[in-house]
Amino acid sequence: MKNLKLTKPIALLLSGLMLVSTFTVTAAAAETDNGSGNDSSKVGQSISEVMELLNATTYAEYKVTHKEKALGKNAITIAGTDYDTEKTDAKVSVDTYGGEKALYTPELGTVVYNVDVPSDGLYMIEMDYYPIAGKASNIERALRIDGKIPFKESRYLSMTKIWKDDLSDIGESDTAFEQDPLGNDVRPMAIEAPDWATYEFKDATGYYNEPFQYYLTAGTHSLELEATREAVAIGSITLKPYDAPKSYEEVSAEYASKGYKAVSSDATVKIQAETPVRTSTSTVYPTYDRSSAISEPQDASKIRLNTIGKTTTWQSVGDWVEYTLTVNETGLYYIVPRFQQSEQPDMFVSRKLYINGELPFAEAGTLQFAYDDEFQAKPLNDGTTEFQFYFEAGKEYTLRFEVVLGNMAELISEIEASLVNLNQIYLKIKQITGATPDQYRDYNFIELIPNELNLLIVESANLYDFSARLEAITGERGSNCATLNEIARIADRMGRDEDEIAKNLSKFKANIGTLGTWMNTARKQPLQVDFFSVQSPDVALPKANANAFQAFAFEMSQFVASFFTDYNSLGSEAGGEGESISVWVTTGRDQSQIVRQMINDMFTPQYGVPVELKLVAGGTLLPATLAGNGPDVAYMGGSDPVNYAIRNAIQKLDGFDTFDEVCARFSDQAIVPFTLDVTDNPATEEDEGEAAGVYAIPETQSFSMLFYRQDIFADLEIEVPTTWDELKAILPVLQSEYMEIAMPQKLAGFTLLYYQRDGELYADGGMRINLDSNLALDTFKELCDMFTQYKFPLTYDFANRFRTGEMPLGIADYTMYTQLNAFATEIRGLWAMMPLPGYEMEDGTVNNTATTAVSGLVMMADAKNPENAWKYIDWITSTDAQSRYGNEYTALLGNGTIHPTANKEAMMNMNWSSTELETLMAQFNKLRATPEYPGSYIITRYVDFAFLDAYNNNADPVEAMLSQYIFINKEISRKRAEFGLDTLEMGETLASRAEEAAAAETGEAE
Amino acid sequence: MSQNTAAATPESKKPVSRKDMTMAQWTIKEMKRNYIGYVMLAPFYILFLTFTILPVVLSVVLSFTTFNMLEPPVFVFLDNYIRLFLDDDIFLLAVKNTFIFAAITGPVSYLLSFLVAWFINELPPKIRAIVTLVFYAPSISGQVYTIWATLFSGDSYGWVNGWLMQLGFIAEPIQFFQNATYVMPLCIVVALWTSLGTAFLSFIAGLQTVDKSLYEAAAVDGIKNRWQELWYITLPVMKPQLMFGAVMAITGSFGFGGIVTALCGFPSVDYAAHTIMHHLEDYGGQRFEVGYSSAIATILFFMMVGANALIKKLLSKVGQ
Repeated sequence: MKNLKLTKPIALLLSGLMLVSTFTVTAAAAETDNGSGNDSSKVGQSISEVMELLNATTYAEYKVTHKEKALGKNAITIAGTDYDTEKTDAKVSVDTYGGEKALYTPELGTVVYNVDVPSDGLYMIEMDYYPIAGKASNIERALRIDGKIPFKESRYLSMTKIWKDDLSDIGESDTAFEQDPLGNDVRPMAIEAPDWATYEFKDATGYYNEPFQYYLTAGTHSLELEATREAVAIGSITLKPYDAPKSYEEVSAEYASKGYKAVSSDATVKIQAETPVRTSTSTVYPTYDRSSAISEPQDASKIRLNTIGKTTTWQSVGDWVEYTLTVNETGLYYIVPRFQQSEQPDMFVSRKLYINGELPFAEAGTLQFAYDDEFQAKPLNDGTTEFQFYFEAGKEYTLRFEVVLGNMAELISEIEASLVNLNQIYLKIKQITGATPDQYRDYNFIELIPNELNLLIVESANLYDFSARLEAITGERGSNCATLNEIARIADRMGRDEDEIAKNLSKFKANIGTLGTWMNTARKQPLQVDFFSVQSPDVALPKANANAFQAFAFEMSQFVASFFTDYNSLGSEAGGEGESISVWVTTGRDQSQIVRQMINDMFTPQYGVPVELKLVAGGTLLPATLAGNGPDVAYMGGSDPVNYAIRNAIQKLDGFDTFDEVCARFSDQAIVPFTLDVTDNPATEEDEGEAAGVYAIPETQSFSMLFYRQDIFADLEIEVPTTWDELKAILPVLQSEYMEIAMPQKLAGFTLLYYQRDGELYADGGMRINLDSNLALDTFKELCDMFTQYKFPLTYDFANRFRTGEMPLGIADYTMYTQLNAFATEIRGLWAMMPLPGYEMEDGTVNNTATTAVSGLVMMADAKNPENAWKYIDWITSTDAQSRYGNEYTALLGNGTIHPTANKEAMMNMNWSSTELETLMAQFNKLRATPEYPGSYIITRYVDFAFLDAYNNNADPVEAMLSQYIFINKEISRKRAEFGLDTLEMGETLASRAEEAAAAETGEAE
Repeated sequence: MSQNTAAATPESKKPVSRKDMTMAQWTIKEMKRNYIGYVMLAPFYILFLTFTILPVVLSVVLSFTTFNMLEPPVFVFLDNYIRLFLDDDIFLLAVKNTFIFAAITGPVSYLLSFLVAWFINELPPKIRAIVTLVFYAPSISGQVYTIWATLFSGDSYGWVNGWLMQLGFIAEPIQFFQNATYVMPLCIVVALWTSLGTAFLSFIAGLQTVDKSLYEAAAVDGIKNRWQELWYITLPVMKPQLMFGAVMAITGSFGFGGIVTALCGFPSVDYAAHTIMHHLEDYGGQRFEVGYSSAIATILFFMMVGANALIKKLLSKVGQ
């Protein structure tokens, strides 16, 4: 412990020194940025924001700077409605919430409060707030004081909302949850239950266990709360000195002096963990454990919701779960959870316990749950002491368990700081050497990056220290320590001997990656709890695991039950009068269960149509249709709908009366790939246009966005490109630093550029491909040049290289945003998403159309009841259904996922902040889809061949394309002939045919 | 025998002999008499008929139709075959590729299997078990060929690319699996690497069943060296295993497709590694032309049968 105390200030001092050096670099960049002046305002602003963030100190440093400062004296409270009307730019309004007057603040804009501080000192800030029901995300705000961010973490303040399980459907039954027709428990839907709550301004990542203490001098200050996510009503804001909670030692001494005694053995009260009163988020919900025979309740063949937090659903810092407790006997109790922590080997996870909204003692903030494969039942403890709690009979207590990092917090935050430094060093070295350094070359690192070399040695010492501390905290020398030691060893060698740098760089990078991954896991605190037994310390602990006999009996009955249960059937809701329809989904089991639940709650009650939902493997639809066992409604994407349509396997949908209404939900382009266009068909004149029409209704729609690293762009003093010319202009700057750009290639890249120039992929109504036009050839050449002349990489892992900064600019699917947001936490706030670059048109506007891919729902040709099937398609693609599906999807699968809905309005209701949505919508309104015609599969391969010919063999792109497009036309004609459609001869166009016909006519006439 | 017959037909007054019956009558009678045998064979035969014979027959029937899986087939007689041989350049390319594949990987992997098995057989039993596992491992651990994807990845961080760039041979990564020059040779190498499979195991088993006394007898009869021993004793004794190995090698080399798709994508660039299997998949899966792909499958089937007969002939020369 002594060692720890000594090294901490040294480490902080050194990291402070290092920060000074980066500060100078970024400050210089900021100056030039301001000097250039003619930035496009949006990008300029965001770069200045990045600057602000880069220059801000961390709270750890802020704490050191203000260590000597005294605590503030008195508490100061400002009512929420007393805001500064002049400086506030958010559209606020005063309203009554839960019986109290409060200030409504929307998800956009800043609210400013002026506060008179009587004396200098450190103040923590508390806010009474009322969450406004909205999306499935926390409320996020940034706090500036007098226009400045005091420290980085102050930008990410996160207030939880209040949710509860909707148990209104249970009615008279005596089960805890609603059950489906097969007798399985059904997960209740989480609904928002807004109520007044208090938020202490604290770190959203959980790196600091205490609330933030802001240093304020005497006088008037302005507190500026900038909204980043979700609306909230502010009741009041209180500044007060931080009052550290008592230690357990003090509290238990107090109990002893008051003569509190342990309760008698029959005072035990059990709280089932799966039925919390309230939770902070919809992602913490009742789960089912089928591994242990004695989980309560348990059944061999039916699903019984019996735990909370299984499969890492209750693990993110800040998530809490609340229970109420009333005991029959006054006295001291143990709280004994029966829990399982089998996700974090060699580590413990932590929880913070609030009783009636307060910490009973300091150690209740760092409760530990050790690792074990099996269930455990141990009184709440902090690794050393098992705690006793005092409860009075008849009084109702609320117990809130909140996810915290506990005793790991400090260590994790320091390792992350180290990781950021190591990453920067790696990037610096890579800018000198490129991806594959030559170990025999003298790069002269000592001259070029002396600071970085010193820093490597410093960080190495830090890492050795972290490893020792980790071992001390967890009591084990696990693989995590080994990783830390390994990086420390390499960093030390690289720092001391510059010849070792090139040799070890790839190993260094791999280890940084490992460390980053470990950081991400270590931040998660997964815990599954079956129940809490509140009992006398003198009674035996509840049994943690089933004995051999129980386990055997349970497994046997599970085995027997497996012969009688159809696990694939998701059941059909009885009760609807109408004829039932069958729907096949190919998604994961979790997603299909959301749909099942939604059908039960929304569809069947409203339309009276029961739905038989089946989860099937992909590729089963075709054989099932062949055998006549297909469903009524199925999900399909790509070219399948048109392929099925032209073979009369699915029904045309534009005849249904609400068709236009349904189509209005999507962008015009979304139904393009689902439209069968065979009107130019003189061969079958009698049913001309009969088959033509729309055959599917869109459900998901994906498109690309541009991602870029703000910090790197600021560092290199370059702007984010909005046109291809600008992109090519910054290319030399990036490439001189060995940085690359991710660009779609082959057909995807071609259509992107081609559509931005208003090109058409097909000509003559799908009878031939339009790749021999001048525009197409020109575009294709431009694409090939990007990869041959400008050397864009063809194979890469975008997410990884974006994180390391090797690929600071790239085009990727927009869902990458949520992924990076959730997993690349080390670059949080340092990157952004933008609409794609485009071509500058003659009128000065930029055409930055993106290509889009759609998947949707189809109705099979032999659907028994088309009207009912249509009702389902209509309903599932509606805004209500899509919004709910999207929110539950994110809730269930975590923050790294998002449902890419095709419904325009539902898109607004997804888990996006208003600024993110604005950016997305800017692109969403400029999409273009490729139409589908018979034979479309052939295009990809021949365009790819032409592209690879140009790339591999330096062939002339134009010639490469001209030699391949004929094959495409040949196949299209062949395929059209198969369906009895009109075809063109080689080299013929509709126009040339008309001319010939005219010529022949005139010839005949003569 | 005669007692049995009498017992089986006690009512019939005159004893019936083979001469008095037609072929069919006699067959039915014999079948009735031996019905227990047929009952015991039934499980296998039912499965074999439904899952092997029937699909082959169906496929031959379908090859005379156009069939898109969604609508009923239409009989077109030889159209598919005519198109296949006269109007499908890609098919001819696929045949060429398949023969190159089969001609290189088939014999080489067969010989390799045998030689490795022969060498390993000389090792002490414990070491032999370990070495056997080492050689057999690539073919049991199904997806393990993906290591080649990492090795020859087109990324600048791919092993071979990184190494070549470090040594200064190239400046940009080579797209090994997307470049017609490298695709075929690479696939052949991967195929050989994974080919030490069941045939290899059966060779080891075969080598161990050879009766030691035969060698002693041969030594007395004047065998001069190990080669003669191999040719005159070992190989003839293990003919069944050789045959089995050959069949496996043929089906393996003709049916080689999945690994190419996994490594080079589908179709491979410029159809450089497009085999008959791929062509079949292309029409059956992507283009919904099951009739046509059945025709391809039929051709492939007969090619394999032909190759099989050829191998049988060759193997009969062993030891002569």
